Amino acid sequence: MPKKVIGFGFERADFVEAGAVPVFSRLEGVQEADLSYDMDTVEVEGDDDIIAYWHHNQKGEISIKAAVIDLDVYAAITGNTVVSEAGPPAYDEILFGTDTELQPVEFMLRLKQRAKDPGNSSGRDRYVFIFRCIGKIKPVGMKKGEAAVVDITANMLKSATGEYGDALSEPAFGKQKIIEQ
Amino acid sequence: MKEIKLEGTNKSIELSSCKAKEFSRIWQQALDYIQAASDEGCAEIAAEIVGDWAESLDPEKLTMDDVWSILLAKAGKAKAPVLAKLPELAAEAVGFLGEKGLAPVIEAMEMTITEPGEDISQE
Repeated sequence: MPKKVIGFGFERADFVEAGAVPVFSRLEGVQEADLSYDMDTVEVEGDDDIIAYWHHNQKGEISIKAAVIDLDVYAAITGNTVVSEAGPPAYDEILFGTDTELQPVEFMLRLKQRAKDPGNSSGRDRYVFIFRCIGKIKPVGMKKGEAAVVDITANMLKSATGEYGDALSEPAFGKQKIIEQ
Repeated sequence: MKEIKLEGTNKSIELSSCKAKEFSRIWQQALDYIQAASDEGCAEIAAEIVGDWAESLDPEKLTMDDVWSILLAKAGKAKAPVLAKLPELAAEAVGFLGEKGLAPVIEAMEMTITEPGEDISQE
C-alpha cells in the first residue's frame, strides 16, 4: 500500500460536493497553493521542570492563487449568486461587498500534489481534503502592467463527515490520501 | 485516479467505492436505465440514480451519458468494467430480437418450462 511518497507542490485544487460519488469542480488556472496547519502548545511547569505539554487551539489555513477569474468560484466562496443574461450581448455578473458574504459559506476543498514512490519512482497522487472551509477571495493585479489573479484564503473548521458524506471516526479538519496512479 | 467529466456541467467525478450491499441496487438501476424507453421513464430513473449517489447534482442538467457515468463511478474499480459492458450486451440482445423476432425466445422458454416430452402446442 502506498504510504510513503516524495511529493512536489500542489498543482490542482477542486471544490468538492460530498456524496456517495463526490463531485469535483476544478479551480482553473491555479498558480500556487499552500496549506498550513498548526496548534498552540502550553508547557506545564512544576518541580523546577516541565512536567507536561498540552496541545490546543488547532488551526489551519489554505491559500490559493489562481489566474482564471471564475464567477462560479466567487459564488462558491462568498455565497453571492451569479446572474446570467442571454443578451445580446450575453453576460454573467455577481455582486461583491454584500451582507450575504459576511455570513460565511462553508465549502470543501481538495488539493492535489504530484508524488512518486520513494523506492521505485512509480507515480502516486497525494490528495489533501479540507472538509469545512470558510474563505475570502480578493482580486489582485488591477494595476496596469500586472496580471489579474484571484487570491483565495480559507480557514479550516472541524467536520464530522468526509467527502462521501459518511461519519468520520472522529471530527477532523481534513485528511490526506495517497493513491496509486 | 480516472477523472470523468460531466458533459452537462463544469464538474467531474471519479471512480468511487462500492460496498457489497450496494451493488445489487446499482445493477438494478443500470438495467432500469437501459430499459427505460419513454422520456418520463428515463427522467424518473435518472432522478433516482442522481438522488441516491450524487445528490448535489441537478438531474435535469445532466446528459444521459452523465447519469450513466455516475453509475460507473459508484460501481468502483472492481465492478465498473462489468457494468460498462451492459449497454453493449443490451444492444446485442435487442438486435437479436429485432432480427429473429420473439419466436426463438418463446420457443426456448417453452423448452425450459415444460416437462420433457410434453406437447403444449395444442393448448
